[in-house]
Amino acid sequence: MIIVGFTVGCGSDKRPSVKARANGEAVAGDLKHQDGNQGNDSAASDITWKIPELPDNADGANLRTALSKLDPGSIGVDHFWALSRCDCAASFKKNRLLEWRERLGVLPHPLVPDLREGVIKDPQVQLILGLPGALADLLGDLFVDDAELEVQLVQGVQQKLISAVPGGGDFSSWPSFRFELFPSIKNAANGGIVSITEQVAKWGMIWSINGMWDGETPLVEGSHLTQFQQIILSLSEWKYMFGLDKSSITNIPYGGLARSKVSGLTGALAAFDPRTDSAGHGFFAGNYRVAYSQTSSKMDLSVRARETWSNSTEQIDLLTQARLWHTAAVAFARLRPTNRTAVTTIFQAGGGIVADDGHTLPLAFLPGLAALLDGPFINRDDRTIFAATKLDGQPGPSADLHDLSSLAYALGQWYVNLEDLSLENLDDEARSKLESGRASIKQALQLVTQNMLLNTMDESFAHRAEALASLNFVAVSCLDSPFLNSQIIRLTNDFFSDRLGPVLTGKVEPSAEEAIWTAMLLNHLKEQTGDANNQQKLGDLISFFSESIESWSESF
Amino acid sequence: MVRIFLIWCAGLFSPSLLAQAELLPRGIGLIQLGQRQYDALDSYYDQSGQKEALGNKLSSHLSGSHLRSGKSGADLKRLSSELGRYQDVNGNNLANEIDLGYVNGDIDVKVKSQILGVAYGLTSRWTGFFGIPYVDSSVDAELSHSGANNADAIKRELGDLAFAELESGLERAGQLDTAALYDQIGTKGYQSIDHWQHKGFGDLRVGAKTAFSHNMPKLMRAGTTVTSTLLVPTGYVEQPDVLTDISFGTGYYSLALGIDEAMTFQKQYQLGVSTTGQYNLPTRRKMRVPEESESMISAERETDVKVVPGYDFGASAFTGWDFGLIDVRYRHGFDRHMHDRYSGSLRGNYEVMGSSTGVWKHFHEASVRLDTVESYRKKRFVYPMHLSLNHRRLINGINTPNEKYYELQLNAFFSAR
Repeated sequence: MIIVGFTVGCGSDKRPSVKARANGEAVAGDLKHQDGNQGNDSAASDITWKIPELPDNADGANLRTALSKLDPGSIGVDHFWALSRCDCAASFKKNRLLEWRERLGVLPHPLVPDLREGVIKDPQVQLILGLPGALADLLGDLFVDDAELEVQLVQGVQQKLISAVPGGGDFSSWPSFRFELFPSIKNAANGGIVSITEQVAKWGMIWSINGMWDGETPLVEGSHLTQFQQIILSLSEWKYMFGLDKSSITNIPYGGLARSKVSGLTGALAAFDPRTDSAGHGFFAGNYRVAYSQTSSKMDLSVRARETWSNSTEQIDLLTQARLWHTAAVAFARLRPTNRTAVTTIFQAGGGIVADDGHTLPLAFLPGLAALLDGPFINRDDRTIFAATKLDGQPGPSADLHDLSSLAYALGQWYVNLEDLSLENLDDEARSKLESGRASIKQALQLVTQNMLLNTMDESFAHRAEALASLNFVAVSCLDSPFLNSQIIRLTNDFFSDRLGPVLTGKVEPSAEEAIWTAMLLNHLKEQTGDANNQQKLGDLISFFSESIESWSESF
Repeated sequence: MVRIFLIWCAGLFSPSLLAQAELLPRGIGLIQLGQRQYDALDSYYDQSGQKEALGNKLSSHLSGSHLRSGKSGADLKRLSSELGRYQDVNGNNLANEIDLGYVNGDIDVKVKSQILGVAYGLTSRWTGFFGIPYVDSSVDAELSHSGANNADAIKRELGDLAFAELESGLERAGQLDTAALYDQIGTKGYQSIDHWQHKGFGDLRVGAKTAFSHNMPKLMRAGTTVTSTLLVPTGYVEQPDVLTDISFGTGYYSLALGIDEAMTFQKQYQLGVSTTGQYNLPTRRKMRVPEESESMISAERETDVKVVPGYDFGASAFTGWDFGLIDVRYRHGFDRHMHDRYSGSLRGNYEVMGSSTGVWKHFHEASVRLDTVESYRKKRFVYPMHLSLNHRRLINGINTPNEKYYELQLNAFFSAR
């Protein structure tokens, strides 16, 4: 049985003030961002949105041209990330779920911990394990149907998922899927390499899909099973990376790929379990490669193999880490007890396979976040934020707007998540630690936001659009500041006049990434503005972008 | 707020004190008594030579630029630096926008002194002298705060975007008022500025002078007088924990050399020039060393400081007319004190300490003198003496109070033969 487990505490009935966007991002319940009038004392009270009107002759040809250049060969992690954040491209996401359903992973089924333990604990295997060596080898082949073993394991997983999937479905003709860990986002064997940057893009997309979390119509027709499978796979991958499961034979953790400030980039990889190591931390970066002794017997592989991992990391980049933290925050928001209304069946209490405290797994990323921000990525003395670190005490290159946007999003998400933990089944010590950590997150968020305001003139309009969306989120959900609001209005108005206007009239062709981020920005603004005229204009603009993006999405 | 008077004492009791005493015949002595009364000091010349109300020394506009300069203290400078990271929608840096209002100062200074001097003709060529002033001075000062303070508005504007330290700094800055100003004085370990008073001696002057005459046509006389003086620092020097005190002395030894060239026409009309140069010896003194440019320096920053005083020099032209019993004189000149240099083991801004110590005074003096010496010789008067009324005032200056005084001086001659 697959159990995604962690620690357990007590809960209560009060609902928090956090709600989720369609892409899983948590926002504060009350929108703080108004239409520009901030109050009598504010110098910004005179500044208002200048939303452009959609020209009558806008046909979107330039958008379609830009998006058409995005094909399987050119799409990259940045595009995946942008598509994850925007509430758009449903077909693209659906097709990715279908692709990944049967994709080969780096870690084959016999080495996937949950499946391994299934093999080890099988009564027949237990019997064989009790026999002396040579006899075990002889009888193992006779008693265990090795050829069918893998199929049986995967089918067993599928049955468990089917019984727990929210909303049920008709599974009479459901295809089998693979449950190998760390499949690539591209249809390539990937040479057995696990790229954290790529995996983050994959996880980001998986957790951004709303679907089963809100009881919406499934992306893959019939049921939420495909989405659910990817969720469980993602959680299993995280558990493996942290090394949280141990072999019942050797008591040695499966996996454990964490680095720390102590081990640096060249020391040994290790497991990190925050349940037993309250002072430690673990983070993941670079490319990992697994090696294990090849054998034709899947039972042998499960029972006897010891895979070894190597990691090559020249430096840890802020962008990837921020996206990982962001994804973990979204996962926490999805899994937390207060947001389980539509997904009760996936948890043990509802008869499912995810432990009731499964929402605490994403919290394991927080110690690594704290460790990397305190020194390697942020110099508190001179308020510098670095785009990369080699953990050698030397300052890295300065973070640009693109890096800062992702970091702001990640910190903002965690800031919202940690606002009210009273209902989240956490013990007092854990809750207290998280609440004090929230204060540090706020400080970091203030610094990041300040740096973004000082660095708004990025040459990439895609980055500017992303930054505006990010600042918007921070202003709405995290930092209540008339100054910040007025800056965002000013910067957004500048972006609209410098860039959006020419795009709408067809004078310039945006990049695909820019189009996606602009669509997201417009969606954010439409959520916030109460002005009917602005609502109308934004609705037209969103439709303009969405039509092109959806059209491209269906062909991808 | 700045220290009120730094090197004012440099010109307190010079030229008219004994330096102008004539060469005495051997065995003849002179006792000099003087009473000098300064006009109420209500203005001063600043670093650029502008005449300002003396109260301005305590006054300042706590604008963004003032905070940024560090003159308001390290805390407010840090606040300014933090605000410099934010630009409002009009592109204005918040560090330029902050305005904490005005500090207004009112100062009333009273100074008077008595002078005692003795000169004696040691030989026919050399006259020795010494002299010392006794000073009575008081300073009354008052501070107030006025004008709008927008720190609270900026704090509200920034909202959650401001770090906790910035928020706290803006909150404290928003509470700035008169009481807070006085509190700051006390917090920094300074004595109250309401009233300061002191009586005591100034610096002792000991010296000798000689003179020699030149061959001149009939009815003309010309001569050179050379005066050498040792100044002994016996006078009160400003204390580190008092903001409004006045130094009565320089605090260092000095060696001065003066040369006068004078010509007399028909025993009545005199014309001459006078030059002085003074070398000041380094000394050590307890002082507070600023970290930046702050005017109010914490008591913890009091330390032993080496002072290397600048040179002094001056020049003047004088003229006089002898009407027999009465003569009148006029002098026009300048005095210059070069910047002092400070140094010490405590890390700080020693440069700013010396920045306002360079003094320039452009002055003129007038005096009327009753001279009974000749009459005494002709047995027409009972006692040989000079009784003069002197008036000196500045025309302009740099780093000096706008001093004006009246002085009544009695030189009583006696014979020791």
